[in-house]
Amino acid sequence: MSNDVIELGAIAENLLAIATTQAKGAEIFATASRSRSANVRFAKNEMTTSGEFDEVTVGVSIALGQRHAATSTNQTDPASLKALVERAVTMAKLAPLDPESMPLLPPQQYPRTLAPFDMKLAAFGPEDRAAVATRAIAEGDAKKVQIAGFYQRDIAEQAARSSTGLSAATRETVGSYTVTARTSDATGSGWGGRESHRAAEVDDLALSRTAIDKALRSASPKPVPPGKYTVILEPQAVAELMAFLMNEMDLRSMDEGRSFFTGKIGKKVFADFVSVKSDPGDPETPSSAYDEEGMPLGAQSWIDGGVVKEPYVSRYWAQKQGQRPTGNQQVFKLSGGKAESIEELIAGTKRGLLVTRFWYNRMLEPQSVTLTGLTRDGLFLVENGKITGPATNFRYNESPVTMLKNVDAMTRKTVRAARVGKWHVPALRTHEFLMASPSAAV
Amino acid sequence: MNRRTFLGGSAIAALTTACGGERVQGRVAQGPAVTERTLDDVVARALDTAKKGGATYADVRIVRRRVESVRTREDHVVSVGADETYGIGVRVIVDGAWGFAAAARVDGPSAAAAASNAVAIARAARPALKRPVVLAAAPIVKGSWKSPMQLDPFNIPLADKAQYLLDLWPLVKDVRLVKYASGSFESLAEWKLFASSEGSVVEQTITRVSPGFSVTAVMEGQFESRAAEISPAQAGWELVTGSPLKKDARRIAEEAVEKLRAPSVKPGKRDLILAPSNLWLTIHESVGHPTELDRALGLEANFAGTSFATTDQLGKMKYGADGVTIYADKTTPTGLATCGWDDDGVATQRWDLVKDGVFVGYQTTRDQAGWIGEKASRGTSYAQDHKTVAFQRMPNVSLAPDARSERSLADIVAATDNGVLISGNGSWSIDHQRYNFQFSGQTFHEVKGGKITGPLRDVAYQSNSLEFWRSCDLVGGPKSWELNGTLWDGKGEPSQSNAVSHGCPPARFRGVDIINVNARDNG
Repeated sequence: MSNDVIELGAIAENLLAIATTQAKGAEIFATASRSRSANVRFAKNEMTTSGEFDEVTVGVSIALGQRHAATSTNQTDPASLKALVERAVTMAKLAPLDPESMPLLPPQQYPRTLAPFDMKLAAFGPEDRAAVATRAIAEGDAKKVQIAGFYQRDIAEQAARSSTGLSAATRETVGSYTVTARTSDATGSGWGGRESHRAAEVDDLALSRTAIDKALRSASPKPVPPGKYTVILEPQAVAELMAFLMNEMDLRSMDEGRSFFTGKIGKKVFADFVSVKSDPGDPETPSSAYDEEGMPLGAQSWIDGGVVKEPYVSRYWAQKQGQRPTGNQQVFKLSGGKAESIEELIAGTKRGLLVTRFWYNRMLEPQSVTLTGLTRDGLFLVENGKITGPATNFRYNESPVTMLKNVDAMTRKTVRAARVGKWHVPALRTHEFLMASPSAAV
Repeated sequence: MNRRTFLGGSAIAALTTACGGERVQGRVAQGPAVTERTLDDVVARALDTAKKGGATYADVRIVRRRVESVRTREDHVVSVGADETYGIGVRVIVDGAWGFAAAARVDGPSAAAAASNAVAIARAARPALKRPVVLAAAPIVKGSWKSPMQLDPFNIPLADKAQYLLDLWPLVKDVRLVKYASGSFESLAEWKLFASSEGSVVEQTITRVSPGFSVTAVMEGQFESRAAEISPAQAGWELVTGSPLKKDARRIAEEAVEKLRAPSVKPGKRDLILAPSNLWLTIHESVGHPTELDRALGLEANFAGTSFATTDQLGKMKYGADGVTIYADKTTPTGLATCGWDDDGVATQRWDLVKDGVFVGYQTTRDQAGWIGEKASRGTSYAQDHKTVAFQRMPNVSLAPDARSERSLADIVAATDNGVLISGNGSWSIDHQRYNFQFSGQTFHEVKGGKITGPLRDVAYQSNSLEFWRSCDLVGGPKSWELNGTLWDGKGEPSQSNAVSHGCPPARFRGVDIINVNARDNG
């Protein structure tokens, strides 16, 4: 993988220049994005696959009045750039009118944010990645469990230029590690996972040990009956449900009467202490300062003190409704808890279930944002403030609305969950969570 | 050994010979000018570099993917786009370890660099490997394959595709309570040249299309949507023009409204009648994925999970009722996973996974076949593009019709005293060992005394894969068999998409748990 510097700004400017020549009078938005991705995968206590790629993708959007089209390619030679623009122009000319199309943004002032970029993670090479697998496999062998995992390191950079003079650039690193351990008798399974822009925050050995510990403790689970439970959700489980909820917080869908949040702005829907924010400028949740249209991304309060505040507002809908567009946020944080640890949540629970994570989550009934999915890789019965043993898995049919309405405690600390988008979440305890049917899966 | 002898001759020359001169035309018509000499050089440089680096096996795929999409809502276009990727993927085995690397530039030096990277990655991986990779023997193949179609969707004017979708809105907009509609059409083209160090060279061009249309009705703070039951397929624009979409549009809108007004289902065990437009996805999740050998052996444990269909059950486990035969087939006409050879260069085929109710087969690749004592791969290796590594992916998996029967969906309804009929796909979810599943649908109807008595709302069915298939007592005849599918089946890390179809007739399942998913008073 190359560590060469590629001047993405120059590529985007070149693309813009080609488009300006070919599509006189058009509005043009040009991007150049580089992705350097490398990974290692192991299973059954041995290496399986590893690979890497380093590619630049160029994209151009052409708007001729209210006709528009967008094209992209990973070929950056002059002939390909020319062909890319020609295709976009041809398509835009043929496209029917889009009365909702918005003019491109003029030059923007972007908030100064801490780039989520870590040189140490950027330098993580094939040997480093192989060492992650080697460490996990050694732990698995020592504890006589089957271990499988995946480490991925991404470096993403982008430059954007427009015919209206807009200029933007961003870069970030992402390291993610997930690991699953299974007992040799196939009755126990445990999981660990974390994602961060910093290498130091993805402690692979600790995560592997967590997965192994959970696998051993979850062996030979006992069935408990389906029904409504108090549940303590670890951060990964919380994040998996939250993404569905936020998808419904779109002002247009709300105004059109097809969102749970229709008519709920300003109303208290969730528990008093629940807040959801986006703030790419927060050093704890750094992210790009602009979205795909070049809109600056500032702080946005979605839910504050349990009250529904600011949904996503597109530029078109903002203009139509006399609102302020929000930009399309990329990082989210659920916060407001005071508990010091998951152990504190467990200690305060008379009877409930501790959930490591969920699997195969899908929308079941959009009107109430009811989801379905399954518990996985460590479900434990909690009785009188203590974990008393592993429980067999369940399918849940429940809404994140209910989760945040009935929540009575969250941890103060939040962590970035693995591979569910940029969600920083706490662990939480909530009630009346429907475990609908048993699952024999381990 | 020079690079030509390692390869077994010029890639392009070999292909030309094998095809008897029927070379696919237009191979390099899109994108940068790449000559056959360049392609030949790319293949040779990749394989030669791999060999010199110590590879005992290497293959190179040169892949171009094109996606064109049009999206509409109500009376206007929302987006029009075209995306393309092109590049080289080189896979090697060095000292028993796999290594893979990719390059976006398709030229000799880039191919050599990718091969060197792949060798280095394989060497880095070797210390953590316990069992060296062993490939099942496979015949050396040379040839080309192309999707049969009448109207290449990339040659249909964009305006025509958009207009087709926009013409649907006037058909539905005056249906009372209908407020919104969305339409979409995607064309996907995949061209790839595969060459291996063993001498296999195949060129394939696969074209897939995916139309979509849905309507939303809103009433008194409630909303329901109804999606058209039109499946993606390996076909051209004729799939759309020959479809009943325009004829059915108004009915689809009326059924969205009907869902708003329908009574909520009473939960309990009922006989379940599934139309092919619903059952295909249940086959995908409860038979397709469990019979992937890598999953059954634990290789997908960290992501999609494992399987109840373990290798000790092969040839023994009663998977379904006696009338249930489910087969894998990468040769099914118009099937989304259909092609000539897989990404190991193995010829595609048909074989049984479940025969007369008994679990009899797995999906395998060359590096997996030996794990269960089989001498040859089933030919199910696939990588979504040039920069992802090939691994085992699902072929088309289908439920065989009752060959001795003329049974139709209407016949199954007529034979059912107390049941629920479900059509189309809604919510779907299954656990990580493929036991507990829960599916919804697009439309739901009550069946009483052999007749459809009215629509229902809030319906899902929940079952266990083995209990479900063992409860199957009526399977439709050959005339009722339909092919449906998806472009976006995810598997692996990093996750890759695979397009796959599933054929089936309508079928009945006895005593399945019907649940009510209504939680609208929540909040």
